[in-house]
Amino acid sequence: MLEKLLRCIAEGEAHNLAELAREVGVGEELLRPMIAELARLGYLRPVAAGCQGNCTGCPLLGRAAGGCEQLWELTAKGARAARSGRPV
Amino acid sequence: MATERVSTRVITVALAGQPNVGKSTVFNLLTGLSQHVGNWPGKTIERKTGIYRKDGILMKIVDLPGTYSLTANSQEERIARDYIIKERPDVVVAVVDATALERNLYLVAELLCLSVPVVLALNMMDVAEQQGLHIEPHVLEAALGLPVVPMVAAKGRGVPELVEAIERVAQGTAAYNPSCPRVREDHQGVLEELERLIADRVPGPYPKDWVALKLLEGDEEITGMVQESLPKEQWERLHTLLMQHEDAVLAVASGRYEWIGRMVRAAVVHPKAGQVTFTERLDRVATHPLWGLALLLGILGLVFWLTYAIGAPLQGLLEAHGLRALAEWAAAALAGSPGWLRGLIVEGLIGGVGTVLTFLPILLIFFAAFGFLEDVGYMARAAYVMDRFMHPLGLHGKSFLPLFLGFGCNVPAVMGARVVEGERARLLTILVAPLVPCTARMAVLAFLAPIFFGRAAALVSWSLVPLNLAVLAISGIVINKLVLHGERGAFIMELPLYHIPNARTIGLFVWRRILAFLRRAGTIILTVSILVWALAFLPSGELGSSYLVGLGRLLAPLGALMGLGWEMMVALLSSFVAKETAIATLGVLYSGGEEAKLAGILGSILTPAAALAFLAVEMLFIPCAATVATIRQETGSWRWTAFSVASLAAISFAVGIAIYQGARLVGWGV
Repeated sequence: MLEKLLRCIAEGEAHNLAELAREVGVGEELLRPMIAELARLGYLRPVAAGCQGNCTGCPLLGRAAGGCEQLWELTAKGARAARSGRPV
Repeated sequence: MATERVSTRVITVALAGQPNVGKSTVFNLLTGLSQHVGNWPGKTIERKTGIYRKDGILMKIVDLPGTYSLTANSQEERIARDYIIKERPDVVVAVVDATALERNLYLVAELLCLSVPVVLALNMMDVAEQQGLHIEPHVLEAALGLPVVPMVAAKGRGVPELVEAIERVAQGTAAYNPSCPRVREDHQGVLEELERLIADRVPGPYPKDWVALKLLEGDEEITGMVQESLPKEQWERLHTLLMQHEDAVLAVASGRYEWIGRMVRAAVVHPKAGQVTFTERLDRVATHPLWGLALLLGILGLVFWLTYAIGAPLQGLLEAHGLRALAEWAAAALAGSPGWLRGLIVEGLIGGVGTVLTFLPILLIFFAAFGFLEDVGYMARAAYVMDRFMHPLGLHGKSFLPLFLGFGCNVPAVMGARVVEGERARLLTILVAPLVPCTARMAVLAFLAPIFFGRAAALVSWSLVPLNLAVLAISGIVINKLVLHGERGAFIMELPLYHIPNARTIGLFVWRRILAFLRRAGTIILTVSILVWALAFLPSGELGSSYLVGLGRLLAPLGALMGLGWEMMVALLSSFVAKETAIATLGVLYSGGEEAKLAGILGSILTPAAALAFLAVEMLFIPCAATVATIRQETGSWRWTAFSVASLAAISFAVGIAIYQGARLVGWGV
């Protein structure tokens, strides 16, 4: 389930929460703690801290998962796990 | 062991749950005033226990720290899981938020692996209904295989049913056949291999299957314990196996999420997309980057206005009719006694501890306002809004809560740093907390600014508060970069739903804090008051030749750089006892205690530049002794306490010198 989520994130440029939930086959309510868990385990990291609300011209504007405060990216560890291609 | 307890009708119950699920409310409902608050052994985390008695049942309730999981990532998680494994409570009550069941069931999934009986308290059912969530407790009970009790703890609903479920589970009369999450099938073989490898070497009292699971998850604490207990060769085989399955943690967690998905699908019907809840409507404003901040500033203003508008007159009354009358009565009663005894009681005890106690009305109102905001669910929003301002400091929004408390008193601010996850962020919060101007510093400012600056006092005061906050921000950035090397853990904050506040919860919140304040007044403040009075009295009984004045004269060269005489330096030093002591000291040194005379003298002897430097130093100076003692207690380190004191002294004097010398350079106020 979590590997599938990692693969879904790795496949696209940016996802919103509803899209991701549909792709993984879970509700948004369950997806949020899954994202939090992947961040805790070091597979994802939040990136909102770096942009400080400077949204003008940002290509991710309006496409970020759940808004700027909930924007995450794959870490090297996450990208490796997504590539490992375990059956889902 | 468990059977013995049950036969004597004593049941040990552990309350587990994630933060903001109403666990404290359930604890308060069960235990009322029969609570004991202490610390977990060797930790700075609060430990609350209490007793529930009814119809021959005696339940010992232990409130475990709020945790999202049991993965040993934090002290709280280690405490919770160690307690359950080592103390083996008869029943664990998992308090969950019905509106965020998906997130909350993760902890339940972990609790079920610990082989202790679990009862699920499904709290906030009313809010779930408001949100259009339809939850079937009986279906959830059947799916989980354990008792599920729907509750609305904020309104006291569901408590008898919870007590009954606990009793039935403890006596073994409840249907209890829990459905535990399983590791995904492709990792079952590895798990079995791990269990075989550790078979007869499992560190007690941990269950074997649980230890194997934690090894697969990469739990550092358990891995370390197993490494110590296994022979080298066996450990190497186990280690190789773990290395081959480095990402097995995903399989373990996936198993739990699949289990959660099944439970939720069975028992919960979510509202149709597009329905906007009450919380969402409010949060559009409360968590908005601009409006949220405006709302926060407005609420802060209202809290301060309420505190001063109601609290300050009450404080004045207490001082005029309580403290002064008591001092006069004591002076008259001790008229025939030796001078040192009269001085000790009237000036040392009543003047020291008594003055601090007059702050009680202000604290009472301030804590009540905080308790209300906390209980209604707003404080989490305040932290969320402040989060972006905290990032450059290496802190996150939750640090805002204790820092905000600092406006009342720095002691609860330092203690409040306990709510911050992560040791590094907690330490940084403790180090910058004394820079938040507390009510005592503000009182000194309010007293002295009009004497020095007349009509410009309000402007000066307004500029000194932002100065403190600016110094706080700069100190945070510098300490974070240079001393703590800028690490910052990821942080996910669950915003609780707004709900109607519970008077009992707020009352207990205020009661506990006031009790802690009174306890402090009777111990630390009392001791330090006597000590400083002795320094001002000894060796000759005259202030002019006392040790305290001698110390002030030593600091005179430093004072000269800020245009301040030795008397002002003594006043600064004495503010270490309690900030307001600075005024009392100035009164004694300049005017023999007459307030009106003091105002005239101070206004004429200090230049505006020196007066501004003095006020700035007073606002940034080392916090009071109680705060320093609390820093030592919370950091558990003399080194960090010394660092805090030294850095604050250096910062305050540097700012004071910069102000005075800067003013001299431009030719202002000298």
